[in-house]
Amino acid sequence: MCKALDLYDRKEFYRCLQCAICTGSCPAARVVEGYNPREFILRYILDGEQDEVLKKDILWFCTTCQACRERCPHEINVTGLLTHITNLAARRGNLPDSLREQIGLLLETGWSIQATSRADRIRKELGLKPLKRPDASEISQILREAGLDKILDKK
Amino acid sequence: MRFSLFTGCVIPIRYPGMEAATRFLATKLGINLVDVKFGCCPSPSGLKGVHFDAWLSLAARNLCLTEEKGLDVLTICSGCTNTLREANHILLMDEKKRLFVQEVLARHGKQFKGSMKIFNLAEILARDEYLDRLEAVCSPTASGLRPLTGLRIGTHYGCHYYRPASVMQDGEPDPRFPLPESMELILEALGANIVEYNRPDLCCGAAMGFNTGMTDRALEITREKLHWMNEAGIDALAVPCPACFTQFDTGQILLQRKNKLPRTFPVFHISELVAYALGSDVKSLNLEAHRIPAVLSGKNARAAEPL
Repeated sequence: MCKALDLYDRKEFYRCLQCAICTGSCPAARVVEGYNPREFILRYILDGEQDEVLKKDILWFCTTCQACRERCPHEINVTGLLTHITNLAARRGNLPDSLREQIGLLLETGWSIQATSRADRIRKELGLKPLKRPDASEISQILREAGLDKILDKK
Repeated sequence: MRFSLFTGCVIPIRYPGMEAATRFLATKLGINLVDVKFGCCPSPSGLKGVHFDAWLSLAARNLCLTEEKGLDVLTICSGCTNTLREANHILLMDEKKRLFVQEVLARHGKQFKGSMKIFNLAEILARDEYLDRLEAVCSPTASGLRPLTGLRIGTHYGCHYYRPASVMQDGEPDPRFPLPESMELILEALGANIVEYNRPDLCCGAAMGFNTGMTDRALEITREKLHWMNEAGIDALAVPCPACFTQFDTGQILLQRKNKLPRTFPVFHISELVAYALGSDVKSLNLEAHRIPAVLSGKNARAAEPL
């Protein structure tokens, strides 16, 4: 079992000059007041305010576009840190309902969206084979064995 | 060419016409697609941010399924492309993660070796051997084919198609020109006119809506993108990803209801345009699944009139 997430290198962030190219490049920062990758770096890494940051609902507005990481002039893996932060937030029970539902469906069906009888009807009309449903029991076992259980139990 | 076809979840369930288009064009171009009982990729914008190791393990399971058959993977969604390729990269480069995942998978009789490659359909079609075949569509002697002559089209790749460049793009990416050009090559071969617009690398916003349920916020990102596309006057948009497709297609309907759009244009998955050009029966493309009416007809393709 690997305990550490290892999704970012703390030392990389010591190069951060707080120039805010990450925030300037961020689509979420443009439309969600208070979403600010530069500030997450400052508070989480440089000011040691991990607990406060992990409580924020706003963390989940990241679109995962990775523009912050691609544009950072110091080649800091900002996305890695953001993924680390949301992973830890989820472990502490900070997880939006919509994501919780998405993951519930994945565990139940092996897919991220609900298969419908309508889909099979249209597939038939188009001459496609019926939906090939995945092995949901093996998939949910793998997810749980990898540690997902811990998150689902937290509310 | 032989691949396992990774359809993902969204296309076979919500947009089966895109799957039909992919199978049609593959047959036409001599690409052999093998069906494998894959599960969810899983999403690089969903599960990955919640539980990284669970995300990696499930992606590895999919990779094992194709590896057992000795096949590279063809994906038709930017998210699936990203998850499978990045997971493959991490599992090859990071020993600690690899050992962890191998331990989980061993209990299910699976072993990851990392011998396979992962491609998006657009990357494959942009290879010279297929571009030559697509260019033939425009030849005056071609019969049963339909060039996209005169169609003024823009492209949107979806962030996961090409970021991070160190994993998703071959060779040395130029930071000043971070975008791929595979769809441009395909569409130009088919006779369409590529229209450039401002901020082509801006995200569509889809993941924000999925993850937080705050669709209105996410649509504000989409609206900016649509603004630049409308300013450039595109007739249609091509995407290689069903999540971006929904965000632009349904997104235009939702924004229009709030009087936030001057005009609308149809959105197409790249497979639909290529299948159409190669002569697919239009009915088999199931364009009725599009919320913005999409008409492809006649020898010179045109998108539907803006609403």
